[in-house]
Amino acid sequence: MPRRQDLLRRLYDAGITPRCLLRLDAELQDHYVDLEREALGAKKSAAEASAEARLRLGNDDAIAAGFLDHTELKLWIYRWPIALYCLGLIVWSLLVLLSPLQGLLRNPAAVPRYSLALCSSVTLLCALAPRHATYR
Amino acid sequence: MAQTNPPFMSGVPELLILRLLIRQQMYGYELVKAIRSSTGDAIGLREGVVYPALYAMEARGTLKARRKTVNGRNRVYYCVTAKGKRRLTSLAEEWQRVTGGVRTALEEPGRA
Repeated sequence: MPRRQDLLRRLYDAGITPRCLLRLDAELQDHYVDLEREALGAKKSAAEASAEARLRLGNDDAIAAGFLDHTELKLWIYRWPIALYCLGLIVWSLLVLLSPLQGLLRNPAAVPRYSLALCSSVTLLCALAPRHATYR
Repeated sequence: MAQTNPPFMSGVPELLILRLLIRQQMYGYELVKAIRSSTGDAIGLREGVVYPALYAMEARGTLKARRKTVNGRNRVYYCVTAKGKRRLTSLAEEWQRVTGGVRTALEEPGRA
């Protein structure tokens, strides 16, 4: 059975943990092999056995729906996005805005460099946002 | 095999999985076969759907998974934890209560 790239990508984008997805991929492959063997044992042709195994295993929609019903299988940043946002805001404020303030007050010449570093860090954070992540 | 009506399936897969795994540890394919045979094919499900249920139960601590190599194949076997045993007791009691209530309603004269 070819790997279910579309299903895995869909679940990854929905926030299902990569550990879960790796296991699912392996277990679906194993399950497919067992179903195919069972059908071949019942004297079905290779094509029939393969078709039956796929049918019994279920399509991507059915399996994806099963995962999306269980929030405990999602990464915590997908389960509590508001908590992550608040935490990020606090850490960002402390590190980027408040910490260098004293130094900047003593040395105004550093303000352009600081501004550049600030813009770079914001750009980097936007580029690393989960919506841009891809499944490999 | 007919597919089962999802709204009536709430909690049933979990109950069956715990009930079957408490007897012996099993891997996914083996477990689905056991569900089919123990329910006389009354519970129909797409077999891949058992995995999200298993992972969720593992995440909740009612199941434990371990890898084992049997006949040259590396498989993930699932077994019930102490928390899973307590959960099975509570689910079974709840199921008995509900089925008892439905049976009473069906047996009541003039209702069926």
